[in-house]
Amino acid sequence: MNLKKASAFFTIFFIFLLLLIIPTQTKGQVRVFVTNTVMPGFKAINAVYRLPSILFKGSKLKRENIELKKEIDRLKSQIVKLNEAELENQRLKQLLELDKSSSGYSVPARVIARDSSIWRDSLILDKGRSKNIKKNMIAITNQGLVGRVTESGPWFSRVMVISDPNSRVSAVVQRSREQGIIEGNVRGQIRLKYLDADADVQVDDIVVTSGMGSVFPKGIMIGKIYKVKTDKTFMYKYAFIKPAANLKKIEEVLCTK
Amino acid sequence: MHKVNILFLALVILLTAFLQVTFADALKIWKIKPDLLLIVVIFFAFNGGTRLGIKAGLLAGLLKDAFTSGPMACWSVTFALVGFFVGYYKNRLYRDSLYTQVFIALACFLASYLFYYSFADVFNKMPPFGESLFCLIIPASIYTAIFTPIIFIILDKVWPRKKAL
Repeated sequence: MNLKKASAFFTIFFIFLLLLIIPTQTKGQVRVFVTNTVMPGFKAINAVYRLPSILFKGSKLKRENIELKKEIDRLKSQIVKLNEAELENQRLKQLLELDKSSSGYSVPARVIARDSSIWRDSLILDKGRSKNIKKNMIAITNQGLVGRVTESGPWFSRVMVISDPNSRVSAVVQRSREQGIIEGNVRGQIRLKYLDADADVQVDDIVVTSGMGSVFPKGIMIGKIYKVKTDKTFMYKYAFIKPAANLKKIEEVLCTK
Repeated sequence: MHKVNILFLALVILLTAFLQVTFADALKIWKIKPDLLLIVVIFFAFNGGTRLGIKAGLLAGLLKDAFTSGPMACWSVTFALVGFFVGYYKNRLYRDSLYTQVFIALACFLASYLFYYSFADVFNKMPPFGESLFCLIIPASIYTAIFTPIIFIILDKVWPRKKAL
């Protein structure tokens, strides 16, 4: 190995050492800086990509249509919440508490990129702190839960999708009130784990957020159970969930508190 | 080897990063998609040697780091190493052979993803190794290797090599 090549190799080694000693918070700031730097370019390319549809589809009608669709999305998510509230009323719980836990502002945002890694499942949105999207807000569509905002830069934000292997959402089976944790895995499956061995869960049961942990408000639709299995130890049951939101084809989400 | 403008390099990598986070999803089979950025790093290292390989690797890795939720800078180091080693051994390999391109892409993918996995695991909890290897890394390495000759043909047109005298 000649001197030039050796110096090149040591450059990488130096970066490697630097990486080990830099605090995680600083690394996060570097990531936000890099993403912010390239974001205008990405938005410009996205705009060019969408230009024909904006030009040829009648801008006013389209805008009205988008607004109406957003309104429908809001109303549909309200219906899910109201169903949940009705059940809660039946169990003599206070509706007021539910309203308090789920009320708040919401910001619609467009998905402009997806995670480039095979291990992760996250989305990058075109809005960030400047539009009031903050860390730990939740992302939903009209169909159901998408994920949680894990990072928020000035002009972008990152949503960890519920199918990400690192995602954890506390959930409840709407019919039987059995509680568990929703987890993603590397196969792209979503599982409701840590159910008791004698838990009352069936195929086609609806799973919603339980509100535990205070990140995800109570009663947001997650999906339907399509398979139930028992753990190898026979101590737990777990169920496979088909997400209500089409996680592979999300174009817009509503970020809410 | 001939010089490549750093702006050209940055532009190609930026465009590839854009393709990776947008259109590569259309190529997704199950959870697997080709790593276009890795192919571009291999291409530049093959054509430009160790220094260009490292530059391309660092830039591509930095963008991959920015667009993934894993620990920051791990991909930069991983891709820089890929650029270095491909550049180092480039003269011993027959670059124009389709089999060489496929084999190098396969080997680089496996080596870099295994390195990244062990490296990133220090900072972040990674998914189980066996599942990652058999469900993600090996299928994705094959998919990426299949894609490599296509990307090489496109990049050869954009950045044609000088004929040897």
